[in-house]
Amino acid sequence: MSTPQLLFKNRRPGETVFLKGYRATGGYQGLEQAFRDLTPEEIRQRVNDSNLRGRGGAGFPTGVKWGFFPHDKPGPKYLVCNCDEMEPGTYKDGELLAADPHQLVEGMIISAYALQTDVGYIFIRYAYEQQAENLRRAIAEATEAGYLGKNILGSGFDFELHVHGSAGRYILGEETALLNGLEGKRPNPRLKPPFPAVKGLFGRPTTVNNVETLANIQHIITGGADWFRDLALTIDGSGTKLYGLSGHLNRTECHELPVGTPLRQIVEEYGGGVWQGRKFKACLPGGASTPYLTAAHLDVALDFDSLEAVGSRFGTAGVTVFDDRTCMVAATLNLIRFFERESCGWCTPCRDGLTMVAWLLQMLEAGQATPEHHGMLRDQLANISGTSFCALAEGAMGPLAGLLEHFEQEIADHIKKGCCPFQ
Amino acid sequence: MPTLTIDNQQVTVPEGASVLTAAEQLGIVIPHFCYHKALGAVGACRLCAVTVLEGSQKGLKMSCLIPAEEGMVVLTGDERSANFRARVIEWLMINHPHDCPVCDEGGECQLQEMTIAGGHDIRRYRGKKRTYNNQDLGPFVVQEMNRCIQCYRCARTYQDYCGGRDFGVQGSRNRVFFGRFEDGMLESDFSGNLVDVCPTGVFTDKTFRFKSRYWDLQEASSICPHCSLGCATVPGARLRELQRVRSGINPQVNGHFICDRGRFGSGYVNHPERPRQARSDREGTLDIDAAVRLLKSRSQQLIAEHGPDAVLLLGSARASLEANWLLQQWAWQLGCSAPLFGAHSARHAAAQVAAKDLSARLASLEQLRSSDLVVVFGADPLAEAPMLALALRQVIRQGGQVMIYDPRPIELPWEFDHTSLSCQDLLNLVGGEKTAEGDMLQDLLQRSERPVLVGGGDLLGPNGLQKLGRLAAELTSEERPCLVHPLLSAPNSFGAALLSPTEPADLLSRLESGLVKMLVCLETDPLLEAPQSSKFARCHRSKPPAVTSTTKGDCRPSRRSSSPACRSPKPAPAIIPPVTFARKALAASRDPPGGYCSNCLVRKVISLRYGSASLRHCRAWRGC
Repeated sequence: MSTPQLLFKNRRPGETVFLKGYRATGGYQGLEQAFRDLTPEEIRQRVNDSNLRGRGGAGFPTGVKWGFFPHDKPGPKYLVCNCDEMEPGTYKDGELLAADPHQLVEGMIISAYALQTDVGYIFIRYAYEQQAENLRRAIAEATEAGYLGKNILGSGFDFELHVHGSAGRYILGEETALLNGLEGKRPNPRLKPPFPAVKGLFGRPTTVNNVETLANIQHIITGGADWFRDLALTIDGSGTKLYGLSGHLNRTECHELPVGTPLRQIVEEYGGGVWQGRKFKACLPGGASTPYLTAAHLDVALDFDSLEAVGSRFGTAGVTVFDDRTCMVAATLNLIRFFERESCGWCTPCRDGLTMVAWLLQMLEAGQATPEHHGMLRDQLANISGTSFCALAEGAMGPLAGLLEHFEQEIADHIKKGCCPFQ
Repeated sequence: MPTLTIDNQQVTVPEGASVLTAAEQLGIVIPHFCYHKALGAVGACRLCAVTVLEGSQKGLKMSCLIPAEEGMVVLTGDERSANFRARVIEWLMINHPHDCPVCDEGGECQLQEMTIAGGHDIRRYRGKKRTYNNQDLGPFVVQEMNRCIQCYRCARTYQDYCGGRDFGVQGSRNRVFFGRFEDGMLESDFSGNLVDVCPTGVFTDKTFRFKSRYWDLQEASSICPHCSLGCATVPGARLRELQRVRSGINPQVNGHFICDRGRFGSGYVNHPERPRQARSDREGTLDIDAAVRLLKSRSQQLIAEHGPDAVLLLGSARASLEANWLLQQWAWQLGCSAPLFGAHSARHAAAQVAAKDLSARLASLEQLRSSDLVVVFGADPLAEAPMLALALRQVIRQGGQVMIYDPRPIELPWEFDHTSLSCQDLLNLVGGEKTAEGDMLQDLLQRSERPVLVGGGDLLGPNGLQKLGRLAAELTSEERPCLVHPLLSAPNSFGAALLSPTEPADLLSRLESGLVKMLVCLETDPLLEAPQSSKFARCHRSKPPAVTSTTKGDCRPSRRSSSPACRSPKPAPAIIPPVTFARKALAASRDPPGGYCSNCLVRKVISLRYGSASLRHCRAWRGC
């Protein structure tokens, strides 16, 4: 394989690597190096230089996020790992933790040291039972080996790590809702500001990072920031990314590829092409909340900036491909129904607006819609985008925006024919 | 103090104020549901959107969440924000039933107003509406969840503000449910506030159910007669009946809420056995004017025959300051001895300490709510003055501390420190005796930024309150006052105490002297209110005064005797019943019940004509 494998280097089908196997391939060297050679300040600087961007979907630069964190403030501070991976089409974190849980544990210890937090929580999706089990074992092993607990490697730094099971709603992936959930409260997102870095878990400074983001930290330490940036195929990008393929492909697997890999290469080389010899029609490039790409975008490099330039988002790089016999109205309806069901019920555009959108799409799909409904759909898009309390409804508008931008004709056909043209 | 421009008008607001409140200052109403003055902004309903042209955040923004900035330019009625608000209303109306004709909220429904104002008329959504099964929430509050627009005000009031634990949010997405885990009476003593805060008809007053339309109801502001705090209430009456009481707004006292006793505890006003006509033992039922004439002539006659001590006027802590003052005028006119203002001498003495010795350092409930340490000596807040308990809740919500020293088992629906000690130890503690507890308390109070001491007048007594005053004085420094909140017994204990001479004679000893031939009680019934009522009754029976006139306001029917008046039917040969605290609302209703307030009754007795304007004022406001 041509791409250097950082996160998936120990992945073998049906196997989980624990401490012995992890160490055999250089595991915990980043941690030892960080504690031996680097100050927390230097680690933060290196992460900042590496231009690592958050892998949970929003793509916010991790170094900048850490820069907001009051690492020198006395009293309890928390590092929280967001492993509530529930977006349709995204399964990379689950794959990583099923194969190599120590990647996350090591990354979290170094991050905690860099941010000077004393307690960490891994908030894990309810369905990831095996992964949670793996993590618990990895934490026990790391504690035994002196990487976790009191006075880590004689540095005087203490860190304890806990695994906390999610109650299992999509909204818990929103960082402030996650913090409420972790506190045992109803997981409605919180009002920002104050941001978690100021007032997070139990009212204390908190940083919430994605699994994949944290698992990259030790590789940045060992390889250096420049090496990490050079891994990407685009100039602005950095590092590798776990691409989870799904949908109408011959092979739907998760691959670690450089950031900036073109869509065509992913579909044809790694996905084995569209199934049953059909044609590529569209894809969600980064999970259910990203606007569709069409066949015209096959040569776009999958990276944060290049996808934003074509009106979509890199998201979690969960690439879901639709073949040319897919009704995009039905596909969008299916996605909107997911978001509607997973709304926490806090704000009106999300709670009731998505209900309205789902109803309109259902009317379209059933062939009962009129051009007026088509106009209403545009109206909903304009009024839900950017007006909701958190990013859930915003994300739900991703596929709808893609539908209205690229598949106008399909909508018109539904109205004209009085039924779904694909049935 | 940023100055900003809203709809081409400039306004300067305090630092940190939101654009919504800044607009309010200009008289511009930005539609909203989830924002509430007492509950704050949470940004859930998204109705208060405005367009920000200049400012650090531009574009469509929620006015309840963005702070006013210097030089900000905001439009509230532009196309973008008006269009968005119309969409929000449309979304909220997706599931709302069209049952306004049978909804008690109709006419005072914020959703109705916003729907009309938002321009939403025809429902475009034709899908299925969401429906719920309602819960039985007890005798006071009706739930109709289908009407819910999920503004979360109810849960924020019940749980956050009032500390209730048996009601809250359940479910998610557009199936959010606001209720209890199972049917049953709401446990909170402040449950009635759900009715006031709900912007639509989800929670309505069960005692008022289907009685009147809002616009047929005559409302007039009043003050709650149930405890000494004096919360603002708004009784509403129709067809000679008090139909409901809702909370008035008085920021310095109750804020926006009232307790359930104040809201649902006024059934006696409509009770068929409440005396509404004057009567005397000799003449039977009397015209009120005739009764007043009788009272006047008998009192003058007795003074003439037996001297100034023959007539004793007894005011009360339930009567208004004006009525008590007029009673004093009457005493001067008659030439009898000065009136007494309380049947219960110890309570009255405690009130006098509060009114005279503590007056320089009294804390309002508003000041108490913003305190960081409240120490309660000898008071059971929920039982004696429920809104005091709610004020303590706000102290705790803001991270302050509440400590209660009381011999009784005290319950509050939230965490607090309770130390049980005997009455003597309590007095010693207030007196600053050196103990471990006392030292700890002194230390805490010294470190507190805004300490308030609450003293129960009944348990501490006048001496205890005086000690409390001294303690507060010791703790007060130039830059940091220590305030006192004495808890008295009746709505106007304070006013009655202000009128009293410093050393009031005890009612019982006056009666036992045998000189009193006639006792005139103004809105009081000594048999119920005096501490040794049996002794009082005995004295009454052995030497019955010639005429006793009880004019007790809010006279409740007694359960113990069949008498409609009070417990002392025989020794009270004449009764002139004044109207109740809801007089204003009742008087404004169609076909009002007759009667005078106690204020005007006394004024008629003394034929006071100091300016007819004053009488007109009373006529207009009290309906006399």
